[in-house]
Amino acid sequence: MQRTAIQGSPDLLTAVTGVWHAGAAAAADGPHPFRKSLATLRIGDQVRSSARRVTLDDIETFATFTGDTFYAHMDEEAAAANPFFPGRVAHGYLLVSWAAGLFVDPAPGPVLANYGLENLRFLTPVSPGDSIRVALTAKQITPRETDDYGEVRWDARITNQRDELVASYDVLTLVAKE
Amino acid sequence: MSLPSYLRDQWWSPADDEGAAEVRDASTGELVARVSADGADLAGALEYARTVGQASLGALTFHQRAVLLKQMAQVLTERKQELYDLSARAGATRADAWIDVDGGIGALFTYSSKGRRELPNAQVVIDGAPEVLAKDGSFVGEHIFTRLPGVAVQINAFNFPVWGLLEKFAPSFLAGMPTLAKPATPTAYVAEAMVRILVESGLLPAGTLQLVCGGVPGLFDHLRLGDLVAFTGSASTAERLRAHDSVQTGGVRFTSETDSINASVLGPDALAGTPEFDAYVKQLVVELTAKAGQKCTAIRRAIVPAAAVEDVLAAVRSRISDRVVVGDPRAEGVTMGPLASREQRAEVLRQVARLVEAGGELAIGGLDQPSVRRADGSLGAEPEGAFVAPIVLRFADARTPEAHTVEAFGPVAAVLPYSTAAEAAQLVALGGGSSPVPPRTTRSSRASSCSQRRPTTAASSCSTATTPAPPPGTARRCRTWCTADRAARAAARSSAASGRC
Repeated sequence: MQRTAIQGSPDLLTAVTGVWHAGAAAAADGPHPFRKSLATLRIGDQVRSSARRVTLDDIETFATFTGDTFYAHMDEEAAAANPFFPGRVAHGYLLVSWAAGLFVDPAPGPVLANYGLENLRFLTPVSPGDSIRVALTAKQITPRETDDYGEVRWDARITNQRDELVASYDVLTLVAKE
Repeated sequence: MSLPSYLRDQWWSPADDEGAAEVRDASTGELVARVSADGADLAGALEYARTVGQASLGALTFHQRAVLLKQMAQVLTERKQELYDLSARAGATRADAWIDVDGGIGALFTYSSKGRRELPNAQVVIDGAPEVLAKDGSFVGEHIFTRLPGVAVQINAFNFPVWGLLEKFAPSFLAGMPTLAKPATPTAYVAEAMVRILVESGLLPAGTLQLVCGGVPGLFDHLRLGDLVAFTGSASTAERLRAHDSVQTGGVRFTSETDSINASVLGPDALAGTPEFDAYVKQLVVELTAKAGQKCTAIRRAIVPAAAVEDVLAAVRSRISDRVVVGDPRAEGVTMGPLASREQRAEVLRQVARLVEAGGELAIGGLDQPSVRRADGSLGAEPEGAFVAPIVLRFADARTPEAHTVEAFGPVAAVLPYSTAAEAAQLVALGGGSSPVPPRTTRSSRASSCSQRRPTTAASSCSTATTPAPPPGTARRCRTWCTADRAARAAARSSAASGRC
């Protein structure tokens, strides 16, 4: 094959590759994308969640429930001494779990399963009092030739109340063709 | 009539047999086929691939091509006995034919599976994450892979007529490039039969696979930017082809896979009586005799502790006499067939003579006609066949240059003594980049400076090291350098009658 460097707007790169690029046009005004089968789902289809406020109580509940009582979540003084945290912060996995709760459309439908998550990065710490929201955008659609479903890769971006990127990752799902 | 070629979706034969090469049964010398491409419209075939073949593949996504590869593999599986039968004429035992035929089918299955698992159901592959070039994200760069617009010319070796062709065809097809394959003359009839099965299956989109049987002088004159050549054969032929203007200045990609004087090191602690010693001897004999030693991955240099040389030779001698029956592959009980042709036999014996002249001592086997088992079960010398019995040479001076550079492409290996692990590593390196085999040692990385992939340290892993026929793309056996290279280069690459892997 031949390797080519391409440069352009996110819209152009999306058009050339068939893979949605961050910054390209997205459609957030239609029905929730989890209600769409591969017959109607298009890359760029998006759901933007409402905001959820983070409390200290939530962090402690998650810590106790999971057993992850790492000091950055539980000890204000020790957390503040850490070079990366302003003080106690929310667990990254709590944010990812919340994000799923924020973007999900729970009723049975064409989305069959969540089979993985890739390229997860936690970029900005989240403190009690912050609020987060998530944007989930259909990034790549891979229908299977020999099955009645396909793979959909979703771009997930969690941001805070200052629109700073808190976390980014790809959510991998299996979605029915019809 | 000469063996047909498959050009522009039709079978074609030259008008007459004048100048055609005669290919003979490796065991009996009986005429099997005449091979010639005299008068073939090579320029027309290449153009057909660039137009019709490109259009066919351009209509398909990676996944659609991958599904076709799997269906081709299934069709070949159903009819593989036909290929086994023909392979016997070229000297292949059933086990040898399994390496070639099932190895080739395995390559199709593997590329089909990898194509669907690792590539998008689309026609463009993104290579790496985008680079944001403007601070606000409005201008972005990235790399993509798309198909080359030309034809993949694949020149194959005589020792693996099926696998050699399919392991190049499969990645090209998956990558959206039509193939023009040129099998090596001595086994072209096996490749022709395989292509015929694919053609009859109706699975080949128009123009995606062409086969030219016979010499192709002038082929490179018709190549141009966007085409590529993947060559398997001798280093000298590769060098000659690479020098062509089409490659040097015309932008044609050229990749080659050539001679390899592979080494296998016996660890200093793996003495007689250890499972590692037994595994080493077993592998050495398997590599000597499988395909009658006509494998690019065969062990040519057995690098063993000086104190173990006699033990290794005795064990190899005993294993050969217990297990190896040289003869016509169609005879009951034969475990090692002849070389592919009498010309190959003469060539191998010529190289053995060079090794002897350089100081090699014939420790096992010799240059005389061996007694062999004929198809009718009788025993005796068979001068019409291309038989050579296993030959093991011993060098007192392990640094003899010929031991590391002369390739006798048959059932031939040399035993070279070493005294320290560092010396063993130096000896491996004298092979000039040939594949090292994981050393056999009872402890990990005792002799690891010879850069093996995976030192074999436990008897439990020994069986994998001797598994033949690694489907490309899978690390089925330890000694996968040749294979791993192929897989990595596969999507990007693809005249010599004497070519071999």
